[in-house]
Amino acid sequence: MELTLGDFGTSYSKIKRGDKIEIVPSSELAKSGVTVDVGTGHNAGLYARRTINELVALSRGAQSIIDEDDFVVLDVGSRDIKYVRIRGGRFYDGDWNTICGAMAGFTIELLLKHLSVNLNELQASDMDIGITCGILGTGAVFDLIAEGLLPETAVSALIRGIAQNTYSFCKRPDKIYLSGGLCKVHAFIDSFPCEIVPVGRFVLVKGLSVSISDRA
Amino acid sequence: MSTIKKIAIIGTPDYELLARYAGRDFIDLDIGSDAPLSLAERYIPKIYCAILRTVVSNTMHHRDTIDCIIAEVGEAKCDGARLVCTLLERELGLTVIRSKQQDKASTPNPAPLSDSDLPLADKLAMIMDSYIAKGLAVKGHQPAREYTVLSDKQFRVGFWGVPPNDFSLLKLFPRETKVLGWTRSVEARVPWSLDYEMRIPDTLPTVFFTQSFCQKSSLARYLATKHNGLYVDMDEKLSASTRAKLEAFLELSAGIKPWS
Repeated sequence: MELTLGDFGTSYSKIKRGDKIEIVPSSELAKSGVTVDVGTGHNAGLYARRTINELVALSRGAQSIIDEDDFVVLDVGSRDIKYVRIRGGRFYDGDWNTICGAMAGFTIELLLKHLSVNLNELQASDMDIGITCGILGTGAVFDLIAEGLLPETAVSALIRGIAQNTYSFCKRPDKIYLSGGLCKVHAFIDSFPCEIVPVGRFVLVKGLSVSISDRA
Repeated sequence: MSTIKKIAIIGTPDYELLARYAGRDFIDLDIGSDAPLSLAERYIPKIYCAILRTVVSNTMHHRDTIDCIIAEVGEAKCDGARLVCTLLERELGLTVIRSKQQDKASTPNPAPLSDSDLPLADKLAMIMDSYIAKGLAVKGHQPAREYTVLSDKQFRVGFWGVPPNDFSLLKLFPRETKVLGWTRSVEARVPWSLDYEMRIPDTLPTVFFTQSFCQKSSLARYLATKHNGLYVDMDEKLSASTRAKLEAFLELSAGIKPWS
């Protein structure tokens, strides 16, 4: 019998049953009573019988879908960002920006709701506002709006700042395989000064599948 | 109950200074006690190195039992300690005897505890304990536990840095962890030596640890980048996220699984 898998993020969870992967707002999980066999993510301990480390899942998942021996995969989540660098087909280095300096997707989502801005209509900004993190960057956004900029322009500047922070965080590679909820957002992707290859939101779930196969 | 006050120590003062107080009771102000860290906010910012906040809160809490403070304020400690000592002296009326160790012409001693098979937390605690004991020339002082010195090939991971404010971080490491950086330099009796602190084995996956808001964070981050290690900073307590990040690094770079 195939195991159920789950990537339980702060804002969204991805649950795999058979061949189907469902994206569920994490706020709805507690009421649903969901439990999976193997999970990863910040909230995995609540909903999974066994857990696998997120960075391990990212590494294994990326290696299974990226047909290269040398690459960088970056996952930008709601609460944190993490990357893995593979060299010669093996883990070379990686890091996980857990709280301070991260809060990427979560901050953007809050601002979009607060300012009634549509994420898909945003263009990449060319403004450098030098944000320290998503939370402190929020203050910069409100300052820009107070100076007369449109909310869309200010949020784009924040998104560019987050993109540049994450680029530095993963040591400025020439190409990044981008995982996570922001990997289809043009204002984010186009703010990187390097090639971006989106790999979708299910890399960690894929990593769970690979890890289970390895241990079977 | 003894009315003789204790000699308080900050950092790793010069042995010659410590030796003058042989026979007295000592208190290490860097080590956490029952003094709440919030006490320190009276004199220093809340967002500050947790070890220096510990020093200040301990001093305030134990003020009436302290005779004087012997503090390392040179390159063997940090500039924060130098400033904090001045605050303690002025605000609490304590005598501070300053040690400033730097650029001594000294050959590093062997560091058997750093290379031992003991649990990492025991290694660090014993290194710091033995520094003071050796400085006081305690006769026949021996480390409390027996151990075996490992060969370079036996190490699976390195731990670079100072003893953390929260020792639970150290429990994630296996016994085959080589101690590097400042803590090793304390055992080698060269805690002022930046050159010694920067000696890292080429191929050993290494965690470069600093307390948050510590000046050593620049060195830790630089070395982590240079040696493809993991840079980790921690404030008061080990967070679930930092724990997960460390576990991932240990598993991916050294094959050390949390349950192994």
